[in-house]
Amino acid sequence: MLAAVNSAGVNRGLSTPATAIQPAAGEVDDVDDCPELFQVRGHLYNLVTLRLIEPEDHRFFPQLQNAIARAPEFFRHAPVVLDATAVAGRPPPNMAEFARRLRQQRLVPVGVQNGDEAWTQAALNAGLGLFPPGRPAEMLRRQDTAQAGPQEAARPVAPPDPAVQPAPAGEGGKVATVVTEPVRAGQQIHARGGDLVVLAPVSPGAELLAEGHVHVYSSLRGRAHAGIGGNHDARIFCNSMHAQLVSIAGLYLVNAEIDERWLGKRVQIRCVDETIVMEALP
Amino acid sequence: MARVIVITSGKGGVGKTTTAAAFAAGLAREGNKTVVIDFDVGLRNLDLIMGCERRVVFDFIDVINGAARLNQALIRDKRVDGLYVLPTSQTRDKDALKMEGVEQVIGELRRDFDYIVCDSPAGIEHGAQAAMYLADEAVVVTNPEVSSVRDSDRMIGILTSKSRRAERNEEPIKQHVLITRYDLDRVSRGEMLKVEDILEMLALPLLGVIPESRSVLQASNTGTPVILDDASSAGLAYRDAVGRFLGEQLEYRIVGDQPKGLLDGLFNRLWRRSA
Repeated sequence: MLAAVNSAGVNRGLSTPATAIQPAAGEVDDVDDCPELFQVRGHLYNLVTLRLIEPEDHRFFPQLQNAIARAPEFFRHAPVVLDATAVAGRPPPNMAEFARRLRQQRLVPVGVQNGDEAWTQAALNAGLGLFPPGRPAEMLRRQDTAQAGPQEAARPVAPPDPAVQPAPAGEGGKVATVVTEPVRAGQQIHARGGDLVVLAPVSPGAELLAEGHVHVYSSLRGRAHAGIGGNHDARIFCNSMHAQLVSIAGLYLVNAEIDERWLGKRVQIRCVDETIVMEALP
Repeated sequence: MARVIVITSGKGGVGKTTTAAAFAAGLAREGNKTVVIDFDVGLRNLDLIMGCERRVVFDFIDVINGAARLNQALIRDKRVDGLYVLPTSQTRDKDALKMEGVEQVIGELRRDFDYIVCDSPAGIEHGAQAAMYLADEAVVVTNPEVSSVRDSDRMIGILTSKSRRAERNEEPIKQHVLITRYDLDRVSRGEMLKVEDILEMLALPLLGVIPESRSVLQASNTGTPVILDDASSAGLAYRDAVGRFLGEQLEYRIVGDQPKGLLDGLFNRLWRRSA
């Protein structure tokens, strides 16, 4: 096979097309040769979701302002996903203006979820992203059980409130979510605004999240994230420590880094300065 | 009222079809009119294991598409009274399983049958979900090794949350674990997981422990559900499993490949009946 030669006279090898495009003046021509300037990674983030019910009501933003005032730390600069499940089918508001008013409240709208085509287009036009479809889990009738399906979050058993109602940072959870069934691989339970109490085993591949503490009165083999709103005082408690990963306020520790003497034991896990500390439960 | 039972696992190759065939035959032998349905569209095996691959004219997908009636597709088993097979298509794929059609077929079968056994494909995608969606009970087939247990756990989560019963907030699917390919020697050497370890991880009632057995391959080669093989330890274990499923209280006997002799076999059978 003949080597192709570009018009600059440099032999680039067999795969170059016969007519190479000359870089325009000012363009960088060594992008492929320079060292790696970024890496693309996948990450799991916990985002506040604002479920829209009456976004056009003139009382919407005042009511939102009140909700934010109840827990200002939690909402400040929070990335927010707009869930359009309840309003899909109705024409969307002016998304750019809506987003601007959210930013006035120091929320950062990042995307739209569960909208129809009109909503999707409005979101894209306003520079928002699209989140994959999801549906909120239904609350089970049994009072003391909240259970999630894969990738879905459970709500606390408290009366429903359109805005998120978190516990202020530093206080223990006011509303505790109690789970009595085993949490299986692929399931994710998020106790919004409070503590999470699990009375059954948590399998490898399962994930627990809470703004407050995470209590597992059984074996913990999955992942547990406490204090996800930034609460460094949150703790994790379990009867048998086999977690794949634990984190408090974002500071995480993987199983491989856990001292062997804690494996299988009844422990409490807390954050002291920037370290994760594990102690035996009394 | 008919009961729909799904035989599922998540992991492939653990013994779902072997179990579906054995279970269906076992239930029919106890006098229950039973049909076993192959949900593994495109990779069908149930007809081979049941020994009816040369009698397949119409299949499950034909019935869903309205190209055939149910009674044209159902194949009567020649050995066991009251046992029927609904094979699936080898040429189509799992997208052909339209849920509306599946519901219609199962609805029709519910009228005539006592038990409807659904042989699920491996995985957690559409085929497996279609097989479990309408189930009343589930047998989660698990091999005594970590990846199988991990996959079974995932499947249990899906059974708990994505079935029609879960969506309608009805009583959840009654789930059981069936351990298959249990090799006593390898377990005692620590190469395979023990029963207690598996149950601790899956936290479900144990339906039975089926020993690793050469007779299983022989059974599939001859197209005979292994439960019909009186000399097979796996077959006997399946009989116990069916018995437990139907409510009998039976001790779990963990054995090696062959019962030691005719007398042992006899003893086992006598003891079992008196339970």
